[in-house]
Amino acid sequence: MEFRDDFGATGGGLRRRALVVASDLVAQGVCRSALEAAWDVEVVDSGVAAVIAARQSVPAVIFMDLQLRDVPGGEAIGWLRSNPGLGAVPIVLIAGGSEDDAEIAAIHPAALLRKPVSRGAVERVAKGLDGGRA
Amino acid sequence: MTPLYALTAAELAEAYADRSLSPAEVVEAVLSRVEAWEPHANAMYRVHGDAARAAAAASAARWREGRPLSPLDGVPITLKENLYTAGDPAPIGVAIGDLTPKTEDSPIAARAGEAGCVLIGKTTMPDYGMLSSGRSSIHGTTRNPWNLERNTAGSSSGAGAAAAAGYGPLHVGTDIGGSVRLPAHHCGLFGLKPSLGRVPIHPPFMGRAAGPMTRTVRDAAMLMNAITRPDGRDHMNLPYDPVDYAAGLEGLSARGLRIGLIRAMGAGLEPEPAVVDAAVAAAGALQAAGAEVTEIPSFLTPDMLEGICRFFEARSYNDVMALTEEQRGRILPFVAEWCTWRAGTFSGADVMAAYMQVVAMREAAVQAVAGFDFVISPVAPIVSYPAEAHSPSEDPHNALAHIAYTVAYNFSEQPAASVNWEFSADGLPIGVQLIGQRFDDLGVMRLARLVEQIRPAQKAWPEPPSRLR
Repeated sequence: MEFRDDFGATGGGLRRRALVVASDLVAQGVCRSALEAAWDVEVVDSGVAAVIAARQSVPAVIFMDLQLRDVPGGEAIGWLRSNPGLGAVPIVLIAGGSEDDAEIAAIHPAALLRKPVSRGAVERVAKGLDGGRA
Repeated sequence: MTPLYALTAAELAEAYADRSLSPAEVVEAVLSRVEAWEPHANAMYRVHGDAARAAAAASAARWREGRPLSPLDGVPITLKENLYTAGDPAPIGVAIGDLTPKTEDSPIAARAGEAGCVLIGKTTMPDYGMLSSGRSSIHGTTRNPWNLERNTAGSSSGAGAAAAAGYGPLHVGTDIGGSVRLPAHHCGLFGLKPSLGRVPIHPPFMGRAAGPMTRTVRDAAMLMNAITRPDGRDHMNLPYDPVDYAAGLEGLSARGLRIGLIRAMGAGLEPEPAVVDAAVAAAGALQAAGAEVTEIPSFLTPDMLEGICRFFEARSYNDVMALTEEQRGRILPFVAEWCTWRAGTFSGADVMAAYMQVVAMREAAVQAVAGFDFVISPVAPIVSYPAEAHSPSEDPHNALAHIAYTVAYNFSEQPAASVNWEFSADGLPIGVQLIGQRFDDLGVMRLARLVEQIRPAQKAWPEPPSRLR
């Protein structure tokens, strides 16, 4: 089975969906390659596209770059968190290093990835989110 | 001291933040106001008493914990019934309308909810939204709080009455020919028809926009910050523009502004002197403050107005002819007559010719404003008309003769607003229309804020009849 993972292989359960929000092509590519073996991955490149995609189908996790091409990542996170259906979705922040710690702490991310994002770091974070099964 | 129901959204945000007021007490005050006015105004299709109280309690908790969803968290809002909300039917003003509760929120309802606004309820509208009147075959007659014998206009009739009556600060209507601006004019409000696609709606349609109707321009700006957020269901929306309407509202200077003034449209109803005088006075005040005002002729021809009338008739004819005879008998006879008396004879070529007049109207409107920063005109050709009338002319064969000042900007996709200027001798509001370049929504709001500051003193908002005895 092309997309077999732990869930699909054992119980026919649905693969979980990860939404990656990054304008940075490198971050997009690393996240996709690190996640796609175990997750259904949707990549969007703007905050506007992120909220539209998340409202259409609630993801299990959102990887969010704080530096987006249209709106600040923090603003897009505010939009997502204020939606009753999306408020509980864990958000993994991707930070470039210029953001201050207070801004990051205020978002209360499920995890923090620093750029340059490595495949191993994304895999470790995803594994943690998935209870160690992904 | 201002009663709680009459506090602006800006005042409420401040009071919630410093904990001097709780959303729970404000919502209770608004619900009491609704109860006092509704037997007279009939602005509401549905009132969400219990749900509003629960939402207010949740908002109060968020403010206590220091995590409000937005400055509008806990601020009461009403939505026109055709702006869908999960759990509410949306009959679109018609007695035979679909009474099945909607299963999801429309974009505006969703954004208002995400901002923490407390939905007080849904406001009335006339049949299919195709009358500029408070008459509806399902909702009955919505009346103007300034004078219950007079019309609110429409089609956002309930929103207009609710705002004038003080059902909280925020109200949203829809506008395809003047349906936000006309009731704003008749009810003494600020009403913004944004650029097409600025506020995501569903379903979108050529010329159709939704916009705030409020007592102050600032409240509308605060609401625009929430409802302009993107929604993928609107396939005609503009790219999201991260403008902070509230932060950018103040500070427009009249000095050097190029203002065009249109007195009469030369089509439709002949304007009454009072509405022209108001527009001229507003332009004069801006000129006195340093603006350069130039009178310009109307860009609208009688053929253009006739074209859009035929276009609307043909559209509604198809809807109404799809009904059974029994169903047709239950919609307002005025509406049935308006859209069937001749539209059945239109050929394809006739409809296309009408559409080309709409295209010409669009081009003419954009060109008319192109040489100016803004254009000012009356909003409607009349100050007022009777509450029981279906249109100012009360003639179904000439039902839209009063939208000549407003309709062009729906199809040119330009932002246009009504802001109250003064009052007639018998105490009825008279608005002026402010039109901007395409997509300059913030500019129109900034000008409206300036006009709000230089206009004559305003009357106190109306009180329900029982309070006057």
